[in-house]
Amino acid sequence: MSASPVGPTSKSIVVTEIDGDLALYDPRRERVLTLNHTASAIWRLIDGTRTLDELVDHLADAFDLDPDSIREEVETTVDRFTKEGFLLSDL
Amino acid sequence: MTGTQSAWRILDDSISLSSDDQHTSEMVSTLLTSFAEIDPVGVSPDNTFFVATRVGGFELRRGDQLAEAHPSRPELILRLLAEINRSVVDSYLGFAAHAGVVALKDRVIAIPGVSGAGKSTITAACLAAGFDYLSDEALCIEFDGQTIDPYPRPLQLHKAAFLALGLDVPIEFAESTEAPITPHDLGARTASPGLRLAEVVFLDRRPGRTHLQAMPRGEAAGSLLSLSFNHYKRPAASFELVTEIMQTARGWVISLEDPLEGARRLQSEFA
Repeated sequence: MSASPVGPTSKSIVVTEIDGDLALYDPRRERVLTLNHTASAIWRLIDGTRTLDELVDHLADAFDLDPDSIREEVETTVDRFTKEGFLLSDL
Repeated sequence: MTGTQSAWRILDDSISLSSDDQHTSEMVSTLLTSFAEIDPVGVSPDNTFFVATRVGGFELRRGDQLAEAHPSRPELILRLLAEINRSVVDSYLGFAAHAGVVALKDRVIAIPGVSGAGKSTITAACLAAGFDYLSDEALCIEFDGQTIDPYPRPLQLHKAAFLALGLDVPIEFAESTEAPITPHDLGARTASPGLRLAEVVFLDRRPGRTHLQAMPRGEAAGSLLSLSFNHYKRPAASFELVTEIMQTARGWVISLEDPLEGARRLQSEFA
């Protein structure tokens, strides 16, 4: 999973920021996903080129955290985006 | 059928009642007194309810549908109110979500929750504490202008709620498990149309003292959308409306056991 790029996100998804956190709306599936602060940061980094390891490294740098301490949360969040159909490769 | 006929404008719908039972007509008129009375002549036959007395009870019929038998007047009235509620919420053209809605001056507070979550009870407690009333059932927001349409239907309370709030069950409904009560009965007035949503307070009923804590606005937006009656009709517009409103409205979770204590907490926070 960590060797291949994550995403990209679908261009049709409507993204709205509320208090710094994101709310996503997929008009094709009529689904809404509201993200907490960490999930919002992960979503913003997904551009279709970064691998999971790179997402973890970017977030660890940005928040001055140990990569190992956030890896599980990043994996879980990306899994959720995938299962909910918000990544283009899964649409 | 001989008897009385009355009609009301409720949200975007018009409802008419034709009844041969004078007492039922008077009770329903009292319960719907918050809504504008209109001429029944213009109401669609599909939106006309007929009540007829029969041996052993009453019949309730809507338009040309089959009649339902009801053994008692309270049961008939509760069923009629439920049918009217379903009709007007279904036909509402704006965004509607399951919520009790009250106001302190011009500050509108929505209390979303699924059926049975205790929306009507906390709403009634708020009215008893001096809040104005908009609804115990539906938060109704216009897509154009984002203003709230009051839907001041009679509050529907279970007997346990009457007890918890220190209220007497209306005598006509003494044998029923629930009863309607008007905002007027609670000493409350109906809020004016045109107000905007300021606070969204999700209910978390649990034993213990009342506790109110802030909730992230994005999470509140998602939860409010998930409690909508009709977002599927205009999903993109509903998403846009709710996320725009939640740019300024605040999200909260209130943990409570005692609805009166909960109402006082909301009053102290939002007054």
